[in-house]
Amino acid sequence: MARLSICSLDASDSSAHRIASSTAQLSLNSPSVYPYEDVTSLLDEATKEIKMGEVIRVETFSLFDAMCAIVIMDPKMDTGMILDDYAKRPQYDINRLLTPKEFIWIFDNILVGQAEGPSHPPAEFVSKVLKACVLSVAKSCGLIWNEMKKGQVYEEEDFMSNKFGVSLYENFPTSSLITLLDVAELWLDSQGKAWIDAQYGDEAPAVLNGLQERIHYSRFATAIPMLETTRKSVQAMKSTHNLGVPVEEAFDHVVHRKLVTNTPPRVIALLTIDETFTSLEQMCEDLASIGTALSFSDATNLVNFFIQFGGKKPSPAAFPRSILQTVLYEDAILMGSRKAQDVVWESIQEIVSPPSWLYQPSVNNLKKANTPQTNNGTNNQTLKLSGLASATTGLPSSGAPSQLDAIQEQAEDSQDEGNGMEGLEGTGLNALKQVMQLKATEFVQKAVKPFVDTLQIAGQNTSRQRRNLRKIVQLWEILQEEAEALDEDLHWLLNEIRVEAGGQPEALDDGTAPTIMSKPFYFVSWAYHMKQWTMEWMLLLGFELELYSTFELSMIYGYVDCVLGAHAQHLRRIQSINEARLAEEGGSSNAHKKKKKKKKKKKKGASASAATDADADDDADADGDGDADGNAGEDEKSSHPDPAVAESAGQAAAAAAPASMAVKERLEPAITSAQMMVSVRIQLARATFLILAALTKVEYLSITPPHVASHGLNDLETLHRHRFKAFHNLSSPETMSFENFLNRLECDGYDAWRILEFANDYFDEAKISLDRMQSMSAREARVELCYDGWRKDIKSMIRVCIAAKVAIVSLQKDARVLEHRDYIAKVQKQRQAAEAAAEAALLYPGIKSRIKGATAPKPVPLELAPLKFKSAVRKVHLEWKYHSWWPVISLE
Amino acid sequence: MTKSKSKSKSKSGSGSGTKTGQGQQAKDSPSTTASASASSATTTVAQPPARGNTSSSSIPPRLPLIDYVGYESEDQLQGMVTLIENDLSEPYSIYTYRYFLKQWPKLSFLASSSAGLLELQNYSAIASNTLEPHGFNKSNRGYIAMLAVSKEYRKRRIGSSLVLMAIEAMKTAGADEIVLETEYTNTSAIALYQQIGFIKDKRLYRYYLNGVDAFRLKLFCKPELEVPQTN
Repeated sequence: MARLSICSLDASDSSAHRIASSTAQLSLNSPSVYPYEDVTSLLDEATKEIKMGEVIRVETFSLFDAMCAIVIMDPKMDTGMILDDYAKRPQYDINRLLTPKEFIWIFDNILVGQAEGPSHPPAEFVSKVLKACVLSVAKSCGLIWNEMKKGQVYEEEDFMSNKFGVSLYENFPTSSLITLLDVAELWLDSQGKAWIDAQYGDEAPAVLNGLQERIHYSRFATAIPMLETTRKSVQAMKSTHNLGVPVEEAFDHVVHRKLVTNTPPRVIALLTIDETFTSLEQMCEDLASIGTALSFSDATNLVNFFIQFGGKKPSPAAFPRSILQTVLYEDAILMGSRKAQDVVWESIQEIVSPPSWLYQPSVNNLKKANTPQTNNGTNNQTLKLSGLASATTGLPSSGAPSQLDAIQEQAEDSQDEGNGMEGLEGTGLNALKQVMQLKATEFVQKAVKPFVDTLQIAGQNTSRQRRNLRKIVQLWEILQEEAEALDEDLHWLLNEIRVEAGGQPEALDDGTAPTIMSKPFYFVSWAYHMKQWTMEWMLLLGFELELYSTFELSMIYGYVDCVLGAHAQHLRRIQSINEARLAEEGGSSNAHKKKKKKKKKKKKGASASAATDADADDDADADGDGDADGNAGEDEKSSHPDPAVAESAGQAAAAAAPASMAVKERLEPAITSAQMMVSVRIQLARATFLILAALTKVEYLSITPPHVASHGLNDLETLHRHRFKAFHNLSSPETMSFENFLNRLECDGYDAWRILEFANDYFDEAKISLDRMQSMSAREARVELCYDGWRKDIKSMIRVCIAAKVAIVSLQKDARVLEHRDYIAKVQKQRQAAEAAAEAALLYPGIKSRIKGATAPKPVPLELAPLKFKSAVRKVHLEWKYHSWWPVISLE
Repeated sequence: MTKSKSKSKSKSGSGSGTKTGQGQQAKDSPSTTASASASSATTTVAQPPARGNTSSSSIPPRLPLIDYVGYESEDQLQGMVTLIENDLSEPYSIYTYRYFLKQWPKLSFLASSSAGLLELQNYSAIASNTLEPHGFNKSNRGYIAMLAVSKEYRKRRIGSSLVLMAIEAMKTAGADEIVLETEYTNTSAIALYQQIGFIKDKRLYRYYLNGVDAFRLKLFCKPELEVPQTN
């Protein structure tokens, strides 16, 4: 009703005429099967009483409703309108025969549409080949659509879920399709080949190859796992595309008119054929990389893979991004292979290495279970088991699982028996350890959400990445707070354990200096590290999204520098904890002697190579505790009542030992590569800040907006409040206040030339670190799943360093920079002279005053008049072509 | 991860007076001074050639003076629609215009010369209840929906004047902040708003129907209440 009224009220005479003529063209005037009724006169009558501009609407009429309305026959909104030039084009005869070259052209143009979303080929087919190929492309669109509608990526931004009533052969079985393709291929190999040979002479092999590759492509487009083959087909199609002969009328670019829609469909800008092939190849690569990541070796490699994926340039298409998020997390399983909480624990362990007895890795670990000798049947069973386990364990939010509750109760009981904190005996301490273990496990479960959510960010478009990171930072902040309580408890317990083992309590009251190990803050450290990383990511994305104005840049880089500085400091602390822990473990091996016998027994089941390893000792300990868990507080010395339990425990130990070996072996690089990246970023941020500060000193740049708002606030201080709003309420790190920034910008009074020199030094340092990183192996750098991308990033940063250093050379020759250097030199000279004079005056005050009969002269500060630059202003040029976070700054 | 719930939002904001074609023009012209989008207005709405705004002082003498008026009735509508249809890539139905004009007629402004209607400023002040990490302070958010200036009248600060009039009206109505969206490639529109004091707050991926990203620009009308905490 409403829409009709638009037509009748607002359509001008000319558009009414257009409607009339087009209706005729569309033969809508002919008797229709639909019971149409002409309501024009009724509407005219009804609207007579409405005054000009009067609107009758329901209360709930929203802007969205308004935006959804389409003005029929408005060329802008009615995208399916048949315009004159289109109406004149030849009609496609669905019964016509196609030559193989025409087929190549048609097929390739279908791909152009496929790359951009559902395409609309003519729904008719001339041969077995085209029919099969077109069908499979449509089917693959349907399969992609199924993935996209899962809601991992953003509707309207990344894709449109509306199919406008177009069938994508959802119900057409893939198996039938494959049969069709088989038939097509068979035909092509026999009759088709003979015909093509006769038809094309010398060109025949190429044409035939072109056709076969297109069939191959169609085949694999419906079976994503064959990515590498698909990619090769894409390349082959690229090389045979030139054989194609256009059949323009085969495609209908205003197919919209046939679609069922209530909003103006988004116009799809078609790619060129080259862009299409490039994007298809890119998509294959991106999808293949996700496939590789499924069998990730450890948490650090996994996290690094996501970082790389999220920052990839050009950005991965919406489909691979959606796939990434889909495979990331389901039923408490990460990447379809391992329990999420185990991976989180691994991440914690790799970064801060808390005592391994704190966490009992799930026995139902898919990856561990999928050892080579297992067959499909057992695999499936493991999967089911694991699913069951996760169902009983539940998500972090679903509270403590009942089984764990029972253990906790028992642990508490035994704690009571041991009279709580006083007079701790072995069993009491063990009970406490169990309670601690539960708490740690609970924490790890809670950490799954922030951890998974953070990784998921990598699958979103860059705009969303930044917007959602705001929230992620808060998640880590909350987790960090929770970690504090846990760490406090742990510190107390670790101290008790030390006492138990005959060591000295690490207390302050006995006068001994507390070592860093007395307060390692494992969990806080990890959460804080993750939080800092997300903060940096968010801030740096602002550069990539071009959000910051030039006058803000020095403040932002200063702030980034500050956050990174805190991060570096934090990582150093973690490193010293790790070192102290290793040292302690080395020194305290005597303390383990009591348990040696028991351990030996365990190690029979465990990997023999683990025997000499300190970590393996720890693991054996953990194993012991785990057994205690399993037997619900039974006396440790009792033998396993059930051999099966013992067996499985032994297996678990066997599986866990090599894993922790790997952790130990990789401990250094895990933290080192993070440290290296943070320090490179500090150097780059600081160097960039210094250049901006130097250019501010010589008044090429300003920290006030070029146009101060008369009606609002756009000064830098307001922006400081706004840009870092997400960080204001954080407990840590201490960020850069606005006053702090102004101080920093002064650069201790150095002249612009000297400041540029400092910047140059930082670029030098950054380049040295980057060169070192570039020579690291994928394993050392923990980027086994994304080595190429990681190296590409390092290379672009190296390019920034080189280009920036070249730019600094010419900046240092700038007239104003030199003026400023001379001016500061003069100021310093005068100051020195004044100081000397003041010193002299202090030495002989009496004489002077006696002679002159006056009071002692005050040292007159001989300040020079503020520098007024003689040289003209030059425009600052920021170039982001090497890296979207780090510009090269020069003067135009 | 939650999906964008308000689909309407992503459509509603479109076209703060700026379009693709115009970004192109900005590149052609050496100047980046304020002006909003393209093409000429055809409707003639005769207005007395009175001196309108401070901005008219910079107008070269040979050009007619500009008169600024508030929105009054739908008599003015057809001229606005024609101008905006020519200028903005995003298509709007008559309902979209009426949505704004009916609810916030006092926040819409037009400029015209004796030669005809030049432009339209149409916006609304809406209270937004966005939950900020800081707390539950509801801020009144104004929104600028469309802005267009005929091609031959550009570079005369007409667009800026209209925006300023709108800002004044919204501030009087109690706005704390004013937002709008523009195509991220539309350098001249961004320059116009930045001169007035808007900052780029967010980037919105493929915001417009034509698949182009938008910048959400924001103007702070008054300082926020909370004091930044250093720790």
